[in-house]
Amino acid sequence: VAERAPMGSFPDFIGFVFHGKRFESHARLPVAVMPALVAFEEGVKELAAQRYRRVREVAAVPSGFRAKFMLTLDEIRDNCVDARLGVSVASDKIDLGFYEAAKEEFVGLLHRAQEGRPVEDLHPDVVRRLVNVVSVLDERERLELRGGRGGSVNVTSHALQTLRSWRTVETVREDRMLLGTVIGGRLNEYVELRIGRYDGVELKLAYPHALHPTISTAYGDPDQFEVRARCIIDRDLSGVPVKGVEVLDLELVDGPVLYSRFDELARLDDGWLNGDGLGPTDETLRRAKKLILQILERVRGLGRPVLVPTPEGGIQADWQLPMGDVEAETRPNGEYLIVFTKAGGLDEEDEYDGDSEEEAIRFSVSRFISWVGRDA
Amino acid sequence: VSGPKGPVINDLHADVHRQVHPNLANSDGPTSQAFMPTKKDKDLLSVADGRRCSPADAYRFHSEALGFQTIGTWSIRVADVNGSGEQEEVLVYEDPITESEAAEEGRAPDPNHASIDLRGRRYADQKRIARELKRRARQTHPPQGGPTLP
Repeated sequence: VAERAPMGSFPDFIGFVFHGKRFESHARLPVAVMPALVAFEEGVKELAAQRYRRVREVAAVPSGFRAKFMLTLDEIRDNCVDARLGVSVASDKIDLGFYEAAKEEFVGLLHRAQEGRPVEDLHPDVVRRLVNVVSVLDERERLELRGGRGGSVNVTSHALQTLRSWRTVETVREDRMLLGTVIGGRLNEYVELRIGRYDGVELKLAYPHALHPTISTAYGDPDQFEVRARCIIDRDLSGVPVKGVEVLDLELVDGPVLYSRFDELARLDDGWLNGDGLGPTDETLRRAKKLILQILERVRGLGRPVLVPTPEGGIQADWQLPMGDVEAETRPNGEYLIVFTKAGGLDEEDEYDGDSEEEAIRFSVSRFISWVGRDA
Repeated sequence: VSGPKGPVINDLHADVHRQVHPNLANSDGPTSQAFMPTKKDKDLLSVADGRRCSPADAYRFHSEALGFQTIGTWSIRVADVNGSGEQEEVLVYEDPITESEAAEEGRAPDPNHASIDLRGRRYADQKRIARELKRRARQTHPPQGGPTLP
C-alpha cells in the first residue's frame, strides 16, 4: 500500500473501521486481505462506470478508468484500521466526480439493505457487488461505512437477508434466465434458473456465474451450494418466458453432503495412498465439480454420486443404477473418462474418452437421460 | 524397464489378494480405482500370491508389517484375472520384494508379492480391466459382515 500512495485522495470520502485483534499489530494492510474492501472497491468502480456511460452516453469507459481507482488502508487508530479511498494515479481523463457520486449511491444502497427496504431495477452487476460486500462479513467482523451525508451504517447479516430479496432479470432465453439475487447461504452470486415447461415448475439451480477474479480469490470457492427453487415466471403471448417474478422455496439440494466430500478431497495431500497417490489440484476439482453439477442439474431424479480420488490425482464419480454402473472420471491431465456399463458385463459399455468438457457433459447427460428417462 | 521378477502364475484356481484403501471404497465395497496401479507401481498392480498366504495373512502384512491403511482383502481367481482383458490375457507374475529392494524402499521385504501386469495398455484399457477385477473380486478378509466401510 505504501508504494501505491494516492496522488489524489478524498479526505472524509469514506472510512472503514474494522474491529478485531488481527488489526492491532499492523500499521498498513493490503486491501486484498479484506474481502469486504475489495468488494466495496469493485462496487464503487462498477457504479462509477455505469454512471460514466450513462452521463457521457458512451458504450465504454476510458482505458484505465477502473484500474486507477483503488482503496488504500492508511492508518490505525485505537486498534482499528482506517481505510480511505484514493486514486492511485492522477489522470485528466478520469473525472473523480463519477467516483464520488458512485460512492454516495453505493453507500445509499447498503443503507437500504440495512433498513430492509427493497430496491428494484438494479443492474445485476451492482447487486452482485453489494452482495459481495455484505456476504463476506460474519459476526466477528463488522464493517462501518462512514462519510458522505448518510452517517454510518453497520452492514450485517440482516442486510444480506434483504439483499436476497432483490432480484433483477438480466437475460432471458428460451429455457433459462439469470437472476441477480443471492440464494443459499454464502452463495453470493447470480444463479441461472433453468425453466421448465410450466409456471411454478421445480427448478434445479447449479450455475453460479463467475465472480470477479479478485473477489473470487478473496472469497474462496463461490460454487459452494447447489440450490433448488421454484420460480414463478411471466411469459409473453407466445409462451416464451419474459421475466422471473418471484422465486419460491429456495433450498439447498445435497449441497452440504456433496460439497463436504469435495472439501475432503481438496484436503488430500500427495502421498495419501499409503505414501503414494497425488492429491487433486484445484483445477481438477473445479472441472470435476462442473461436470457433476451439470449432470445433476440436467438429469432429473439422478442421485448424488460417490466421489473417490484416483491415484493419479483425479476425481471419480460413481453412480450405481438399476440399468448399470456409471463412472465419470475427471483426470488431472485435462481428460475425462466416462463409462456407462450396463448391468450384465463389459460387452455393454459406452464410453467417452477425451478432453472436451462440453462433450463430456453432453455425452453423460444424454446417456443418463436414456437410462433414467427424464430430463430436467 | 524393470518388470516382474518371477514366472507367470499359471494355477488358474489360485487366488490373488488385493488390499483396498479406505479412500477407494464406498459403502458397497471397492471402486474400480482400488484396482488401478499408481505411478510408482509402473503399471504392475500389487497383489499377494494366494498360494503362499491367506487373505488374513495378506491383510495383516499390509496393515501391520507395512503399516498401510486397508479396509480388507479382496480376492480374485487367477483365471478371472487372465480373462479380465478384452483381447489379450492379463497375466499374473510372482514378483517377490527382496531384502535389498525392501531396504532401498525403506519397507519390509515381501516374498509373497505378486503383480498383475498392465504394462503397455492405454489408461482406458487399464481402467476397463480394473472394472472387471472389481466385478470379479470377492471380499475374503475380514469376512462379510466385518468392519463397516465408509
